[in-house]
Amino acid sequence: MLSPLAARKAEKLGFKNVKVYHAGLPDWKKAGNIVVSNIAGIEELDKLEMPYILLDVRSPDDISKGHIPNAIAIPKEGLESIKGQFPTYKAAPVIVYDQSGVGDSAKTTFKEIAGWDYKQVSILSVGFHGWQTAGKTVATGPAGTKISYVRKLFPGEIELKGFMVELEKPSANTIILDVRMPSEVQDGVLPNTKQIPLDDLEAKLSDIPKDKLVLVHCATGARAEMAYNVLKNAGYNVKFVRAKLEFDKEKKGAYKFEE
Amino acid sequence: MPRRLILPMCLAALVAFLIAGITPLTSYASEKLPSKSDQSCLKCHDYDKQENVLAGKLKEVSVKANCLQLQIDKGMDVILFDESTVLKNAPSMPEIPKGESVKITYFKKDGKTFAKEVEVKKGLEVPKEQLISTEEVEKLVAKGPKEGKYILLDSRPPNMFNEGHIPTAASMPFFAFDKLAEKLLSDKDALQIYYCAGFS
Repeated sequence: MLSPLAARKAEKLGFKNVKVYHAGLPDWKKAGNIVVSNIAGIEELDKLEMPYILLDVRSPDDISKGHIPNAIAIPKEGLESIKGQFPTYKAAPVIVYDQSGVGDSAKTTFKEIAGWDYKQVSILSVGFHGWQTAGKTVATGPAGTKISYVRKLFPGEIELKGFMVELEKPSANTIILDVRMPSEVQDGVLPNTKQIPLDDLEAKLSDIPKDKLVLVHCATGARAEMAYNVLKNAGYNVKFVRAKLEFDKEKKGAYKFEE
Repeated sequence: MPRRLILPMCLAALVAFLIAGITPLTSYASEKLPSKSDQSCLKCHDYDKQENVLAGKLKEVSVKANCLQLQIDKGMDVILFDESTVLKNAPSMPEIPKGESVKITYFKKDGKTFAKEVEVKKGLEVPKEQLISTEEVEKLVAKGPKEGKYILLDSRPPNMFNEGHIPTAASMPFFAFDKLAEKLLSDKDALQIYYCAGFS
């Protein structure tokens, strides 16, 4: 929602030829276009200790002479051969680079990974050449061959995988709480869940046994996180899941739940 | 706050107001009070640098009790209004959609919070002729800024730009617009295209 505001400011400054690409980055990605990142993006991830996958698409010879630390080389058998090493978490940042920017092999790799439904794929716009020119640390010898991405969980978060185990086979010591609005609950509910809208949660704490582990979900994870904070402050042992839940409008009871 | 408590609370506040209230509300409105704003509002507004502002999402309106409930981040505020309250961008209080972002200019009287003005967020509608489609942006990006005679500007915060942006875009975070305008918008004739993370 920032771009229309920026356009208004530009017009106030007297610019006449101002347009707004309102659909923005989400639609740009959906249309299958390339997204680029920069060196600062990698440095920020490092600083926050957020894990990411860095892929070097150049030849083994070039890689040996120098590559970005933590890079993984694409094996000669092709990208497909390491597909199984990619995480189930589709929002994992994946950065692809070649020698000097957005070359064909970087583009092909980008499109293949984006085609696997990964949401945060980018090509390092300046390539290895830009990295080196900027005086950043360069590693020599062969690059890594195995992707080992371990997702960093948010405080109080439970991975969807673990949540699903509890959902399908609930243990007696667990209660699963759905904090969506009544209007959303109409679309469907997950099995073995108890519905209390976030708005009513504080008033209905007495309905939730204190001696159990409480797992909270909503439709995106945002309200589940708020509920987590409410319950944690009230002394509960609680975790929340950060994933998008959609019920099938055609098929009753069918749903899609993904991180 | 439990919903069933809202009405009694509003009523209590109203009674207190009626007892104290011969003086018109607005005469209390000159006192400078700290602002409180939902994080989502601060993305585009600097309410934290202003005074007497409460900005958040409207939860409930009770016309009977002349009060409304405003959600600011995870907290709730109960605010009273009367005929002297100025309402902007909505025909009447009950017609403001629930969950809509509102900015309230407030003052305090007898410990109660009163609305001097309630401003409903204007939908950020972009005129049709100002919109540019994905296909058009694709064509321009393929040509590049020089040949395409455009400048593509990313309004999102810099860290989001760094993580991933449209090729050939320049980072122009909305917050720093004024500071960056002179540097980035030097070509008066170039087409300026602004984008961000879409409609959300």
